[in-house]
Amino acid sequence: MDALTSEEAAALATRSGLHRVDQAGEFVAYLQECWRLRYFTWNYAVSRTILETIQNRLGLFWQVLNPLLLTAVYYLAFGLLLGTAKDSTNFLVFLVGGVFTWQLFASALQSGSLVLSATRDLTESLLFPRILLPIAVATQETLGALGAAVVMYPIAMMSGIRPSWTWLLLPFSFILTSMFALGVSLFTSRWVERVHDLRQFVPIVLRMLMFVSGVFYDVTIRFHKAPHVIRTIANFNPPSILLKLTRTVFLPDQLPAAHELIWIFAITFLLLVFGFVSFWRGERRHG
Amino acid sequence: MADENATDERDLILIADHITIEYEVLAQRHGRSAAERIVSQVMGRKQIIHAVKDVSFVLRRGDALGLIGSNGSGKSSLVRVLAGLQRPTKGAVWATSTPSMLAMSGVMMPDLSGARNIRLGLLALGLTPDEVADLYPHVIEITGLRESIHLPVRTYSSGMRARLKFGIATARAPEILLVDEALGTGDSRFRASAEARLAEIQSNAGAVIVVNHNAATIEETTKTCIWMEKGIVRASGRTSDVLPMYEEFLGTQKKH
Repeated sequence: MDALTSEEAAALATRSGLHRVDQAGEFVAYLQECWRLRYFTWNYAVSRTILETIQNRLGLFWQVLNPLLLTAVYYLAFGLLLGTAKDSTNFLVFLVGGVFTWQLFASALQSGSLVLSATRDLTESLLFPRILLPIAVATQETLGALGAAVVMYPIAMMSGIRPSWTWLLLPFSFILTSMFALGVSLFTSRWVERVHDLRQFVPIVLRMLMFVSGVFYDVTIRFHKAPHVIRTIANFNPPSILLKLTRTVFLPDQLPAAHELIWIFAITFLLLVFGFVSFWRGERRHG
Repeated sequence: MADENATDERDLILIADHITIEYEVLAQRHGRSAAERIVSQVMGRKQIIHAVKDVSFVLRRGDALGLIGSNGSGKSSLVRVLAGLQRPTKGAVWATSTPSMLAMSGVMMPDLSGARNIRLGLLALGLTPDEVADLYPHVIEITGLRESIHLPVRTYSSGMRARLKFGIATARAPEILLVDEALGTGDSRFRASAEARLAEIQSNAGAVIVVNHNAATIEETTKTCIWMEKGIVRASGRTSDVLPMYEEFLGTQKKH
């Protein structure tokens, strides 16, 4: 064998019907493998949810409790103390819509960015396209958020909003939110894996984004007097549009402008496509 | 095997072609003062460790190849590359299908039950939920874990873990099975059933590679073998020829 050069070995392998197994496949083969393992992805998302459930006494209730408690804190700190409550005619629903969507976005982006470095147990024992990990995380986060979001309906009704057909659109807004987070984490998960120090920036960037995305105030009102550039950036900030989209379900006056909607769809689509390709290239080169 | 008939094209199932594996690590230099240490941590140049240097061999249907060497010889890195779990720095692995690996390290989700890990492991092999449901009782049978199957894997003994992984890896008899140190643990009954399963894979026109530092395990399970030290192949050929050299080497190591 040592007498064989790599070219001879490759020719011999091809004649004998062997193929390379030490690298991820070509793009189409990679896509097919992802689709073939869809049940695995789903099962892994469910397993992660079960894991969270058994680690806390209150289990899945934390999915609801956590955003509700945060809502209470923000209501007090920002709504009452800093007076942002006057930004909306129904500040409680405004805030709940913002907090639940933000928590989904932040949690999906945080877990998605760290998933490659946090799942060594799994990746050292099983072979599968690594991109299934961030996809499973996004799936898990969406399911959890949708379960928790049920509590938004009684809150809306108690604060005097009449049920409407738009209430059915909530899952749509949540799915778009986690798709956007997935698109971003397809890039960030690779960066964090390569330069471990970058993980320290994830919560800091998220915190900054939270303050500028209008979780507890109305971006349109608060940035009204800001310079044009800043106002444009604030309006095109994707998380901010996603929050508005969830609020629209209960508060029709929150509907984002048409160009904002086109922008959020386009950026999500582009992030997913380019993220997928760049993730695949990274996996092919570095594993 | 790396023998005289390497170019014989019949029954080829795997070709390892000039595999080199290097790791980049941050060199930890020991400065005298705290300041020096901090500077070397941030500025420290990367150090390259050669885990495997230019290893080639071929595997045919029905082969059982042993891979022996003391700790740190690079044999585990090599099988991880064969299983597609790690990229080689240089070289290529050609095979009929991706080898299935049975390793001692790492359980998929240690905090979940053995049952959940079995399902997850089987789905990762590409089985559908229906196929998993059909195969599941059979896997439980192989593992012999009975009621413990519903306990978190974290609570398992190393022997129980080995049985669990063995059940998953061999549930749907793989064409090529890599066994990394996993036969050393477990009781004699498990070892007997594991060895029977290895023989079955070989007789079904598959091949196995058994990695171990223990000469007895290699002797029992393989006919040909490769001995590696520090990433380099020291000897290869019939197991009965190679093992005495390895044992002699271990003997001289002890004297020093």
